[in-house]
Amino acid sequence: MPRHGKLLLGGAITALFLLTALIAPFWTPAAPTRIAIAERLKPPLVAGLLGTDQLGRDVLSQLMAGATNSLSIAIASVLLGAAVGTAIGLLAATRRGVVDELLMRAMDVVFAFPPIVSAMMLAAALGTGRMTAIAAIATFMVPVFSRLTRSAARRILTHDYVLAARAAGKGSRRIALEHVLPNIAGDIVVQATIQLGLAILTEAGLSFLGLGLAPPAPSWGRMLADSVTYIGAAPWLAIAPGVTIAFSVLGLNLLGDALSDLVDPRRRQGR
Amino acid sequence: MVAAMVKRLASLAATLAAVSMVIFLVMNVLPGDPAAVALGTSAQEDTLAALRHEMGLDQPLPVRYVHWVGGAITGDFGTSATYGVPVRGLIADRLAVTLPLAGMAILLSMLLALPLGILAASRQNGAADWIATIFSQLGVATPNFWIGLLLILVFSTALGWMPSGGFSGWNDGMINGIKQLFLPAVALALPQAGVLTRVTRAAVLDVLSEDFVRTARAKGLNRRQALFRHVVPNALAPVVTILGLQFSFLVAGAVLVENVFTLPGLGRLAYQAFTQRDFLVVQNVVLFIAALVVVVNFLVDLLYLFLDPRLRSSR
Amino acid sequence: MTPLLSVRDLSITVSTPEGELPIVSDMTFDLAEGETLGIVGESGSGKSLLALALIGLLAPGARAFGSIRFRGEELVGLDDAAFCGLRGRKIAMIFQEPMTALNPTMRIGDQIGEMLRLKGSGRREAREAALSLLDRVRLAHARQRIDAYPHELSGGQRQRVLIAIALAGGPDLLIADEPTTALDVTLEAEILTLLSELVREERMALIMVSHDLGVIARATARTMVMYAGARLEEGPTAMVLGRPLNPYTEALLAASPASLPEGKRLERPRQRLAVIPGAVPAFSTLPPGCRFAGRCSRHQPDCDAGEPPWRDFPDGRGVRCIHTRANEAPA
Ligand SMILES: Nc1ncnc2c1ncn2[C@@H]1O[C@H](COP(=O)(O)OP(=O)(O)OP(=O)(O)O)[C@@H](O)[C@H]1O
Ligand SMILES: [Mg+2]
Repeated sequence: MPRHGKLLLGGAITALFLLTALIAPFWTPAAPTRIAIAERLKPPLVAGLLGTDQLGRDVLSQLMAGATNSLSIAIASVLLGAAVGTAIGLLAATRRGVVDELLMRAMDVVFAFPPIVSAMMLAAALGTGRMTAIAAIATFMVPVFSRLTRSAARRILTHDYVLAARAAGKGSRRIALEHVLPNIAGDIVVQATIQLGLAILTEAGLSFLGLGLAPPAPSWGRMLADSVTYIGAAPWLAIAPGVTIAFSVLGLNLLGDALSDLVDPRRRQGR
Repeated sequence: MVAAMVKRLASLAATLAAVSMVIFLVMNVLPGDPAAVALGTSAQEDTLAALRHEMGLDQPLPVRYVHWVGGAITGDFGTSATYGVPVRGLIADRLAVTLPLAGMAILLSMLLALPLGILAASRQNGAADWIATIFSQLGVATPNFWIGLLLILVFSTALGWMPSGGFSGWNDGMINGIKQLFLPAVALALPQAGVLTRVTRAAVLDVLSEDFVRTARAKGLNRRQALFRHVVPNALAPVVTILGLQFSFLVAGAVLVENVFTLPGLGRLAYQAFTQRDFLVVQNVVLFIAALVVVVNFLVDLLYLFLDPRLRSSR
Repeated sequence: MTPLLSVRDLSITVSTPEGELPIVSDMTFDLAEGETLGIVGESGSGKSLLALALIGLLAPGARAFGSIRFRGEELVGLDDAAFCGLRGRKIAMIFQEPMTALNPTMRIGDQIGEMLRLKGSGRREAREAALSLLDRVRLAHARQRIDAYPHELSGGQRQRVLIAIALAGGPDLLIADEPTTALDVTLEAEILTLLSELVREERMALIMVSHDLGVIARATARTMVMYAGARLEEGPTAMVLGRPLNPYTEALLAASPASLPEGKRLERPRQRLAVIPGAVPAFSTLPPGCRFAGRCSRHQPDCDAGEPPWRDFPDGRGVRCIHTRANEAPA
């Protein structure tokens, strides 16, 4: 795909997604949680643009409110995971030796827990909810960002200007913050965009299992979970949230790819 | 070589020990009282104490940890409160579903992704390349449990060709078992195949630009021979790495997909145990899953040695 | 008698974001059976493109126009299946970079015997052939090394393996694209000696591409000098390097240590030819006249009037320069 194509398409989808998430708290076609049993299981266009669910709630409004929840959880977990992961990666790269070895082994350990699994574990200890979901997703992102940061930072640390700064007596913390971090920020942003898509997928999976937001807060994953019972009678309940998830993640991935091409034009084979 | 092996095995053991410790700490040290959770908020203090004793919760933490890990190593995971049977048997039964499911998913994803990725790279910007690109972008973006729902919608609700879920065990014959696992395996495989197609394409493109491919062509090999004899073998290492890294996602996906298709697998066991507050089962299944991920990545590392002779002699 | 190789009006373009860009142009030369030709020129003058065009392995963006005839058979536009029958068996090539030109995951013996195996030889037969080829390229301890992987060999050893691969099909024409550039001076001398001997023993024709006049002087009977994709001078090596007709050749010689034509000394430090003042013009903005005009010490206004035509002289030399008078060439 031409590079501008990816950037435009990904940017447009992501902008739409962001805009929806920002608007939904203030305006949706109908109140997303308003129950109207008389209006239940109405197909798209018969009631509302995308029909109603088993309790007569407007599907489009729920999807919009779900965007807010999904995106806020995804952003919070990526921010958390990126912050912790980057700090660990920088520490490992600048300290080297035993610290490096121990930190990276610790990352291997963390990486052994798929987010759904660590969410179950955390939920068993802490109960379900927004914080548990964020913690579980963020945990899984920490190794991703720390490995990325470490290898990028080690590359930077061999450059002459870093050696010069070190010779000039700058401490490793200042070197990490003044020389390394600005140079790898692009890589981290690219990775964060891609991980945002992954976080949305994971959040959907968690709420599909009931490990995410508690009802009645609308969430894409739970809409899918609820749709299972009515899959024969009301297939739109299963289709609309899935398309929404896939579309949002697709947008973020395309945007991430395009940004990655901009940051490093040599690495262009990934499409 | 032997020394390197020993070092790798030691590191594997250390990782596994750390994994078990993390699970134990999260499940036992974080605020929360499993006995209280199990009995609900209205429980009497003496019944709680009795249950705590029965669960071994009144013992010091290190003792409990050693007891648990020692048991796990010898295959004794304790007895499930809700099922009333040894956890070991539960895990074994459920593995008979999850392992074949995961195996089928990996196989399907490779059968799809390798040819597509190789074809896409060898005809860059051709039709296959576009199909591969669209397929992998969609695959990566689509949740596997939703694919599961769609498959049910199409193949069992609408067409009635396949069962919409459930698993009657392997006693009814291999074919029957495979048939029941087929749709879930497809649901798991498609997103995997998306990632794998992308990685295969990139790896093959990388290798195609290497000098030795030109040497092979200068010898008189045609494009296809150079591709399969020289390019693909050298492109496999990154593909295998991703396959290993993706195993973690596969396991997570299995938890979801098993729930969509109501398959009695390990993921569904963990989930059911969680909803029934049977935390001993949760703890042990989580250990088992995490250990599986660690071991698979270890094996992938070994496979890497096999694929790349340069690593064999330098380390 | 038809020559082994006959190149006529060959040009090669590459596709760039700005469009098709001609790199090599107006290339014409003949090569007889068993003859050795050196192609020399600064980095970026299009030598590798020319070499790759001869063996039909131009990168996807590059295209050749004109005519390349090998024993009368037209190679420009030849389909790949037919070309595969020529590569290795009739035309072989050795590449510049021995460190990356071998497949890292395949044993060297298998890489040498690969074509034999594909043509139906047995495993043992191919292995014996590979072994005798390794002996022919004088790889020490060939019997132990035949099962080695490339990373277990040194640069010089790998270059020998690459030569063995090129010899495996018994080619009539060997194209060597800077085969010694990556090697140190002692190894360079050894490999050049080896190549010269092999060419003589096998009665192969050789095209040796280099930016190093010393290498060319040692290994080839005829020399062609290229600049920015065009030939500026061609003739017997001793004459071209001994009494250059083109100012560019003179400049090249001046930039190299003195009295090269005898080709006896290769001990001098390696150097690129970029010591001529100025830079090679970009292919997208070639000057209207002589391509070398901007750097030429004998530059005069006429030089910019148009590209000087190629002129052949009766003694087998040829030149592209308006300064060269016919009487400058010995009759
Ligand atoms: N596939 C290609 N696409 C675009 N430009 C190319 C391609 N191949 C070569 N070129 C350009 O053509 C010119 C000649 O390249 P070539 O490799 O033939 O030079 P060379 O004489 O072999 O130089 P060197 O001594 O450095 O090997 C260079 O400017 C190069 O950038
Ligand atoms: Mg070259």
